[in-house]
Amino acid sequence: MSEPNNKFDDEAVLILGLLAQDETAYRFAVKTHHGSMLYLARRIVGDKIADEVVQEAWLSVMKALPRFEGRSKLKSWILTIVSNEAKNRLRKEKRYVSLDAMTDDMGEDTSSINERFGKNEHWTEPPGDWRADSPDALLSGTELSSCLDQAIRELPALQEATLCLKEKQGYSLNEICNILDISDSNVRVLLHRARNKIFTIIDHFQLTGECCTQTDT
Amino acid sequence: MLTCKDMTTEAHALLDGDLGPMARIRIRFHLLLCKYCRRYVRQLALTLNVLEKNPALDEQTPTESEIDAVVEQLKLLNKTDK
Repeated sequence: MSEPNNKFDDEAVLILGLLAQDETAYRFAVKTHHGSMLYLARRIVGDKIADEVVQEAWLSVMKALPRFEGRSKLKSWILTIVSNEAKNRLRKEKRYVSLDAMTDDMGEDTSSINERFGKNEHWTEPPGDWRADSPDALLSGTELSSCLDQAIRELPALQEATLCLKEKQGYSLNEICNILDISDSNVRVLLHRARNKIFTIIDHFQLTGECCTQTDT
Repeated sequence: MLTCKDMTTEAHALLDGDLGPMARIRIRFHLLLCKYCRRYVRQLALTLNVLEKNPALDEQTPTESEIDAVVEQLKLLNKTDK
């Protein structure tokens, strides 16, 4: 059952509430945004210190809110602050490399899609003809579903974060560039590799009935 | 002339609505001639729908005690600012 409409669903009302230090506005904001903040922080700094990074990010959000100009959505602005806090934390611990540089190491193409073409760059191993034509039909058995869960967990952290921001949370490529502060071309590379990895896993499963993640389920 | 390998990059831009008219025409022309790329694009679109519905990419909703802890911190921040 969906929750009844809340006045804070209107971003402008929420911002006014937060600036007025209204506790119900605080609770709404935390309930709405804390999960995605934590998700993103975990992908950048790891599980151990993500909680601390998000706590710091909340304080930064509240301090900077009077200067929020509304040029992006509030959620996107908050996630940019989380990303910056996370990078600052890595910098303090001397673990910082720019996220653009991290894409070299963490964005490895594990989909093997590029190995399926001949010298003329046409398919030598084309995709199989999947028997399903809808997500529900495709995921009707539990096996593929758990295989995909495993595959998503095995993605390099930045690929997973980019995939989540685009496919689940519906951010544009430009917004993802701003949130993660990485170049447009690197966002595309991360996204394409992650999507192709999931594609090849579904393709293999459709063909053989077997899961081909690193840790087969 | 696009190759099938090119299509594994261009298909993403096509599905993201990220291509100009000329690029779309080049892709449509290639798709007209290549059944495997038609299959790739159709099934990649299905993959994206699957991902959109997949709970593995869901963020966790914070518990009431987690919300309480953050709200208390924010209230404390207001007090120290005064």
